[in-house]
Amino acid sequence: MIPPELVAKKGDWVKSKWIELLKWIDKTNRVIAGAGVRVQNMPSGGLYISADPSSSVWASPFEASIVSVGKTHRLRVSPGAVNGVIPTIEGVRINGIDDKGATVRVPQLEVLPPSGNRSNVYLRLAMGPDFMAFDPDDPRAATIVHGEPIKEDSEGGAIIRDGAVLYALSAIYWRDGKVVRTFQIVHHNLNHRYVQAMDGRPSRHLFWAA
Amino acid sequence: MIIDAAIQRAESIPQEEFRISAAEWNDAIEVYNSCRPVVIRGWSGGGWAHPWEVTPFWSGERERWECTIHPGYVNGLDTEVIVRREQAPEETIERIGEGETVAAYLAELPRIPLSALRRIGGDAAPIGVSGDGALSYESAPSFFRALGAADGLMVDDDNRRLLRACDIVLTVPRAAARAEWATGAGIDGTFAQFSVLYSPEPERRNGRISIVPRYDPAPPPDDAAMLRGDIDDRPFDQLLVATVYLLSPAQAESGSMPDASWSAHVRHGLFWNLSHAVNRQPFAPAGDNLTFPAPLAGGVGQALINSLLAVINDNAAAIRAYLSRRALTGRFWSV
Repeated sequence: MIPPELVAKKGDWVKSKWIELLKWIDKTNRVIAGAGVRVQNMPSGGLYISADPSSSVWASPFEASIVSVGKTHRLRVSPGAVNGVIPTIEGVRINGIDDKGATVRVPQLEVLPPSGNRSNVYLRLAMGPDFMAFDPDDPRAATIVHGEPIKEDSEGGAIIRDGAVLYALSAIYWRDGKVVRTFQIVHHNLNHRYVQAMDGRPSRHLFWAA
Repeated sequence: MIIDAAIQRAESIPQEEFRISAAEWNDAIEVYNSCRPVVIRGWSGGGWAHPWEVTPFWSGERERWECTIHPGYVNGLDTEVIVRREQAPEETIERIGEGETVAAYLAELPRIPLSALRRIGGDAAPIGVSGDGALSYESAPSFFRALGAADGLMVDDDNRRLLRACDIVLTVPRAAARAEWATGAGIDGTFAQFSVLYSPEPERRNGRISIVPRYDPAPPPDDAAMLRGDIDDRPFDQLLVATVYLLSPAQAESGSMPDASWSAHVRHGLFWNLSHAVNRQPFAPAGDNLTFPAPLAGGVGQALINSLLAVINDNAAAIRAYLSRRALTGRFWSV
């Protein structure tokens, strides 16, 4: 859109139009850096424009992705370990390697949209009778589950439910039954440890980056 | 092509006879208008951004510097930021509804204004005065000094640049401890009672982002404050997410504020999502206090009496030990 006062007509004085044009150039001829771009005016004149394409790729452990076909949503989680143990989905390790070292189909979990606009992918550790540790040899002890976010009873992010400890790995955002975006919460393999209560300090299930 | 033709024609005409036709003038403006850059955007191309990654940009629409923050999580919960309703993302409005300001989740990708800026170097205000009356200034980081930002008072330099900055702070609520003295009369004389009380667990558990001119972490309470019972613990823990610097073009006018011609730089302090917890259960059982037969709270005068100093020191040591078992401390760790 060209401002009408800049448009010349036959018989106009060049000088006044020239001044209008200079003012317009001064006002509008600016380079504006959008997100991810840096513009610097150089002392000698000219612009130095640099864009950061953020091209690096981080293959995060436990990275969740959802493939949707129609109204069916299937969750897949990239390999990750807790205390060196690879969790399972429906009895199959998420790295797609069985007990004998053979490659099997990488498991997927069918999930349903949540009642709200967010759901979580959880690491679920089924605790042993003493509620202190999970059995690393039990393929059902460390599993991947999907569910609604739980705000209550969280201690350092660990949530106790039904004899198990849940820890959120990824957040999935939904709208009208469709996944709109996914953000990773855990970016590392994890360590888990149960800390007994002592001297006013509560007992805890701690998770931290390995 | 239009420009080339106009130049060829201009060169072929003697200077005294040169005239610009209205059509040529308008064509030149048309070409200029169609070619001038307005906004240059970086295209991430699906690249990876770390949690809490801050991306500043000039908003031509709102004529101010803003930023987005790649969502970061504390204890797996959404981190929020307060924005004006009319500038909140559509998803936030749908989720919250009413309110002049709303708490948008970072995952809803709000645009956060970088309006709370401090001046560094050059035309900055002093941040302190030394004993001999000399003013001290926040020094510009060496990176910006190399680019021409003045360090300290403005120098008359054709290449000088101005520097502005703000800090992005993460605040996570938690219960807080409070020390309290009580005095009363007992059977064998007056007594003073020292106890630690806890504020209720916060209703809001989500971390919250705020933009401040300068982030100053709270110093730990000193011994004297502890003995006075002045350990009003803050009911939150904070971390510096990032500092956003805005650097002016050369020869910027002193006191001018950032516009589209400035460039933004970010120094990050956080790169991973976090877990957060306090060190103990914020629960004080009944009768959990220290009682002293001497009125230590009003014992400033007694401190002057040498015979009582040992008693006071013993009591102070007992209080320190008591506090160390009951003070709340928040901790962050990455996951």
